[in-house]
Amino acid sequence: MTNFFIQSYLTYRALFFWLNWPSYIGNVFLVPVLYITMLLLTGRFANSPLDSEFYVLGMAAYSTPFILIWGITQCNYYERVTGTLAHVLGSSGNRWLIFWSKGTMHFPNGLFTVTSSLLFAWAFIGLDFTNLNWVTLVVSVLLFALSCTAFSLCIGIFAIVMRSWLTLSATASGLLILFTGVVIPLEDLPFFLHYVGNVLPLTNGVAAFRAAFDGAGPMSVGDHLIWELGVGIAYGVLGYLFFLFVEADARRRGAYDTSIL
Amino acid sequence: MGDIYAFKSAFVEQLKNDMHWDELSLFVITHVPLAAVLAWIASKGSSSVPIDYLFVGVLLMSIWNRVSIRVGWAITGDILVGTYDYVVTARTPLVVIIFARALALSVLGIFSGLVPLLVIVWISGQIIQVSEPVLLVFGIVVGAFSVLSVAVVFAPLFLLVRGREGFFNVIRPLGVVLGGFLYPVAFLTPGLEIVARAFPAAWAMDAVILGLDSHGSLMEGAWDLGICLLISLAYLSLTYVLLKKVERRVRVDGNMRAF
Repeated sequence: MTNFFIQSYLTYRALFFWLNWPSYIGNVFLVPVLYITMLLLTGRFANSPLDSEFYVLGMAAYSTPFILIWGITQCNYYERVTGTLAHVLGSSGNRWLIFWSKGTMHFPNGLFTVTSSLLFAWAFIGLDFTNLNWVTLVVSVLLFALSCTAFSLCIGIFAIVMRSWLTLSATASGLLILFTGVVIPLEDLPFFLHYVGNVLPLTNGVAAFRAAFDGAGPMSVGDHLIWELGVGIAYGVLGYLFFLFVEADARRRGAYDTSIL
Repeated sequence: MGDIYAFKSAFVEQLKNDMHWDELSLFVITHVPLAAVLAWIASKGSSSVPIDYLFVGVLLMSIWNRVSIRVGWAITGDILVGTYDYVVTARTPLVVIIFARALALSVLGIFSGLVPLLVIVWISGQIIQVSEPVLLVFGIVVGAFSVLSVAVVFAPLFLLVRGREGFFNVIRPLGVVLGGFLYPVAFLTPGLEIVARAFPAAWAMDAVILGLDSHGSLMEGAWDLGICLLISLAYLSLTYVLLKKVERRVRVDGNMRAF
């Protein structure tokens, strides 16, 4: 386990390029607040009859996958382009632990960003905390942060083999803002698109997260919480299999540092 | 005449540099989900004006997002790949080169802004309705110029603050919030509105809404656009001063690769 924590720390410290104060504070604390402000004021301008709390809470929750996806994906990409990937793949370390070590230090960022977004919404938008069920809130946040970490690790593997990690991150975060019900309710999505949300992280977590503000207890949103956990485990296993595949392919071709997509 | 050649060459170079699939797809992918979400929120209101406003705003937002980040990296990129030596030793002022690059990026910004506009049409089920076409056209042109004039400031600024990865992730949404691309800045709190008024696009967007809303008057719009142009020129002057500072620093240091 010591190696796991050392690996987690070094991966984060060396490959997370937003780890300087202006970028860190900006990306973790300010960007989510700016997006919440954007959507809120667009709704006010449109005189929208929608309950603004719906998308304020949705965007607060969305801030978690946003920072996790962009953070973890860039670490995977820089692992290749800075040349450390060869050492990782050449080591005899436990692959399961190596896979998860890339997300460990990013996980708290997901919690910080949703917390600061909620504080902003409480202080400046008047988000009502009176009916809040704290247990449901904490459990739902922990679960969707976990499932989003697994999702980010899973898609992050593609950053090893793709030329552009930016396109990959933008696609993944775009999918989540559209299909998880953070802003647009799932039942309003056309065609079969509401089914897409069921296989994405955050969809069920954000439903439980919203229910917490209506006072719902953990048992009453138990199905959402279990589903969110299941999605997280599925992405964790899928990502690990992708990682093994990329490693096997790198060994077969003898090329650790070439993009194939 | 030499400056015109340099301007043209810088424009073409930037256009060629960014005219590839990764760059084009990135900006389309970044804007489509956001445009869809914004259009969905705006379409729930009773008036069509917010949707019409979004058509213009999303286009300018696309230009802003593209120009601010890419121009911000322009000099830093030159330093990293070694072309800064030629740029700084040439007789053409740096501001001409940077402005040409920004213009090329604006063209690409318009290009990548078209797909989100189609998404807005699809989600809202309406196309833009205009009451004062002249005001709207001038609003868009002057608005685009104002966006460009603010974005070019980041070229020297980014270098002078020793460019950091991730810096522009904050600048871009901050510009959207304060630029009034999605709503008139009067919707901001009074304190923030004062700050937003220093951003010329906010004035251009005021003219745009006059062009969209049937209550608009040409004189009011012309006034807004005049103020927008004045503030834009102030930003260009600031860019000129900052770029001179960058050039001087490089010439004094004699080290073209130092941040």
